Amino acid sequence: MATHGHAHGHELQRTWELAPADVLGSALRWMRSTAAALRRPLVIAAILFVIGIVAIVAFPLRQGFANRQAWTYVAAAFLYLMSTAAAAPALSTALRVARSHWRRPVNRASEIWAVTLVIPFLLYLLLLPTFPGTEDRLSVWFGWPLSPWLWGAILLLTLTGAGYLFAWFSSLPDLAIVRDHGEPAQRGFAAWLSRGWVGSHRQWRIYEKVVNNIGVLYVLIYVPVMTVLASDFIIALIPGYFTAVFPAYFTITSFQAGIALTIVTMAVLRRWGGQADYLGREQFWALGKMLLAFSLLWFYFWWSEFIIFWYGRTPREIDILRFLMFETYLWPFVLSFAMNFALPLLILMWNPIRRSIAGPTVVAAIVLIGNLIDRIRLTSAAFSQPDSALLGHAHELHEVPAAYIPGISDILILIGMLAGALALVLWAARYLPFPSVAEVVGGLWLRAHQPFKHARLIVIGKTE
Amino acid sequence: MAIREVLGLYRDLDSAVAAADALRDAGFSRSEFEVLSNAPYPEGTFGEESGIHRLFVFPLIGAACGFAAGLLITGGTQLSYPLLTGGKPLLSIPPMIIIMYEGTMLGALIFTVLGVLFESRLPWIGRALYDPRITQGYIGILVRTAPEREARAIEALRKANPEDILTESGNAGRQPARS
Amino acid sequence: MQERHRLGEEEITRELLRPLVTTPAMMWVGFIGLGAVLAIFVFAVSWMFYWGLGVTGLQRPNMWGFMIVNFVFWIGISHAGVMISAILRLTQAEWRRPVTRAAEVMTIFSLMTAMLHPVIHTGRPWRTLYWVFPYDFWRNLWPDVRGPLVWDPSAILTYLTGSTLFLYTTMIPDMALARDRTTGWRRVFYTILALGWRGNERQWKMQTIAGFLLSGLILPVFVSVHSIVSWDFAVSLVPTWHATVFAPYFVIGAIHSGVSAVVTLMALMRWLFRFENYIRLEHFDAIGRLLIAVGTGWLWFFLLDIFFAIYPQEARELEIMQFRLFEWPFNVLTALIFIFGYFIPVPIWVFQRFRRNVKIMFWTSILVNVGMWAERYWLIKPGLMRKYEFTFDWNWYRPSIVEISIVLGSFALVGFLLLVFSKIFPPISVWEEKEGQHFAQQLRVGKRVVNAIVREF
Repeated sequence: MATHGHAHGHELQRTWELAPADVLGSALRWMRSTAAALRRPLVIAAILFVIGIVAIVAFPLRQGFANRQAWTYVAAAFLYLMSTAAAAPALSTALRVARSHWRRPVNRASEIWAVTLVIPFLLYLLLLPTFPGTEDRLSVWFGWPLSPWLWGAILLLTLTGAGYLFAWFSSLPDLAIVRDHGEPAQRGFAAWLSRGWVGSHRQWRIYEKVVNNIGVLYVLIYVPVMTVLASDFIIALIPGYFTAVFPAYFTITSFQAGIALTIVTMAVLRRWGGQADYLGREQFWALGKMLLAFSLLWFYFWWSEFIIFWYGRTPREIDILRFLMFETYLWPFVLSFAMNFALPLLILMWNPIRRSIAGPTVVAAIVLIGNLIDRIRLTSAAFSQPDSALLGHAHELHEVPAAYIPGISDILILIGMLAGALALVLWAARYLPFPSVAEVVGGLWLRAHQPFKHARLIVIGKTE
Repeated sequence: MAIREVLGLYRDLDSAVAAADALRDAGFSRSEFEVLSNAPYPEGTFGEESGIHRLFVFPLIGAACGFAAGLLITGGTQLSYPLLTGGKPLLSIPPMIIIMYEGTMLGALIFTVLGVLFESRLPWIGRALYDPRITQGYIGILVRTAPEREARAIEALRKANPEDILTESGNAGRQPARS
Repeated sequence: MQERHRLGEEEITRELLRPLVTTPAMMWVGFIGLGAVLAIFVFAVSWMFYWGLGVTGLQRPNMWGFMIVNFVFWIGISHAGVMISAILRLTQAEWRRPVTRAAEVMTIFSLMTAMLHPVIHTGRPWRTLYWVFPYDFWRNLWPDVRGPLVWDPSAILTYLTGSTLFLYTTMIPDMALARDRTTGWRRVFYTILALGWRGNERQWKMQTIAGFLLSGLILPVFVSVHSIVSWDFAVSLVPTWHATVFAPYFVIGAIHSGVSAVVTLMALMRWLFRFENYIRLEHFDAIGRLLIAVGTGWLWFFLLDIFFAIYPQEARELEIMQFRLFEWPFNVLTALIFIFGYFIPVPIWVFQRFRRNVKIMFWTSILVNVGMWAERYWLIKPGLMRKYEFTFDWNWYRPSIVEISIVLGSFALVGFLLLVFSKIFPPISVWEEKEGQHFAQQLRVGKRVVNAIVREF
């Protein structure tokens, strides 16, 4: 176990007693062993991705864009990737801005997911033709010309660009290490990405300022994007669904899933990636607390909508409650409620479980599945309405369609797209060392374990 | 068995820690002396302390009591006056949840504070050696031991250069402050 | 950059207990000035009790006016205490130390002030008490637990009780300090409040755990309080009130206005009590950064509310939104809310040199609260004014001098209570400041010495 010494019952994590040479050594070991170790999972993921693409072509694409319901699981995969992989870099930004002392080994585990953004972007372009224009139906674009197509695409493109910029810029110093010390196959690409970086004082000053700003920029784009997606993909497609909190619910629950994804990534890195010295109890405990807080927020944002509809009891609102939660999609809702809120609360409310590695990991896995079920529920409900139900600024859910049951093609599409995202991450891991040398070594200067009379304590430097 | 108290006052942390070490060297166990200060020091500064606490039980009990009270008030009110309002069912779960939640939190909060006071042994109306200089910034090492070991305690405390040593029978013309 | 002043124990004690033993001239000005406005407040309330609610501007359909807007505003301010105190304790942020007690006290007094408003709003509050206590059914009167007007007192009383207990528990060590430094009746007073505190390790350990535990317990309560207050409006079917976003929107608005109020309080305390050694520029810097995030979050929810009020394209809601955004006086209020609530303060706070300027932080925090009071009015009144379908049922709301006095008086009440508090209890937690000194360390990195903090975990 990566601990060294105790502070009255709290272990002091060994990470901060390593020397910079140890950290560099770990990173170089990663670079040497990754290509071979990840080859098989990468190939499997790539194959599943190709199967997913074939399934898209063979099924929804062949039926055309008029039948929106055929695209349900393409949309579900898209929204799920936006809720998990696209949200993870936002967690990294939050940790940087908050200057938490334990964050340094964690940042890369979240930021690496930004490399997957091209897949949801392409899925979005594929889904756009399934939406009718907004002139004759309710939407947040209010009939603006070429909406939602052009403007939505611009937003997604901006987010994708910002995400790649963030992933690249935050990795710049470590890409230089790969350039100089990596395996021959890795050096060329790393050299191209990191050209000009020499690690001068001036470059570091700029780097420290800019990396936070790019992260904040990413979040400032992510939140409006998720607001627009929640509106376009769910609210505007369900007639009579008049809710202002749903975009907030959608965004906040995405942050929850982003945290969960980061925790699971950390657990994998620790168990199979040799990162036990860096991703220890400290990181899991801190993120476990955040996961608990966001699970409570899941409930809070869901409840905010529910109590208004329940109390108001207008026929329109009751229909929505029946459709989305208590009749048509009852079981997905119950599972989602249990996995996003009830189980995380019941498990993580106990501090000994929060302060373990397994506790937050298990709950994170539960939340990831719960989030997927939730996005499938919402997409299935939204995509089951034909255009005729929306046109004419429809205000009521006149016809409650039956729940959409996925076919084998839908499952292949979903698995394929998620596998594609995983393949991209596995590929990127060949060029990005773990741990993040720049972050961890930067933290070594600012943290020490020192004796304080008879105690042994953590001392954290605050440069500003 | 009678217990005698001796209080050593130290101007700074180093001498207080030295006094604690001297007491340990003289054969006093950690549970025989306690440190009095005007602000907390990191746990373990004076060597490991003994003493378990069960503070975490209190919020759970309080939450259960509050939950029950909330259930009683909401359920009882609605059943006593079975009037439909706004088309909502007689025993309406969502509003009950809100008030039961508040009751649970209130119970947990009150019982937590009671638990903190209980575990801190407050209010304390007993008599024990104390000196107002502790709140000024001096660190007090209070030894509670058998009468025959009192002298050894005083000797150990003296080794660390105290500002003052107080006993139950006074010290060099000074009367010990009682609290 | 974390400034570090190594202060002696006695120096800290003397400076932080100074308000208890001396009364600066401006404090007397404060007492007299605020006392005068408070007297007007009491007179206005008495006038209203005597002559009835007709002396206010309330009339159908404007059954809620300035008093309820003010109620919501003060509930909002009360969220400052928990935001600063609980969240910063849980994250072990060092910059909380000089701020927590003042924020918690402001919470309690603003909550009490807020609670006053629905009570006096009934016009004959003694009857309210008669109806409510004892909680029985033999008078054939029973609270409708299915309604938000009953959820309100359960939440507010829980929050008030919790905050008061939280404040008191963390004040006990300072009561012991005051006990040891006073004589006469004051000593008796502080001795009772100190409960026999001695400062042994067990007691300090309980203090530390209590800080975490109570913070963790009171955070969910704090979120629920303003959510429940928002449901007073949102669960009704009044157009523009019946919105699902009200709960988080009100909460984030409360945090925005509450934390800004803490900034105001910090600046006033620093100036009035000469606390430059304790309320330092780095604290304004840190709280300014927090406010940028909170303010931006608030703007998001504000825009969500506006967009999704227009989205359904329903005639009645559209009509009220048109009234809100484009017609006098709400068009001016809309501009005021955007500009004062966000577009002046937040761009200023982005720059560190402005965050570290106490005057600028003071005035921007005042601007935010002017904007937020206007926002509460803007949220509540248009929907009520045009609540009914037929235009002959529409009515203007013109607040009377009584209501204006009550609103101004509420500010005087909170200010007065804060001044009284600071005369009796140390407004900055002395023991936490000393703990901060104990925990201060330094790390050497090459030629640079970096200020550092001790953490136990």
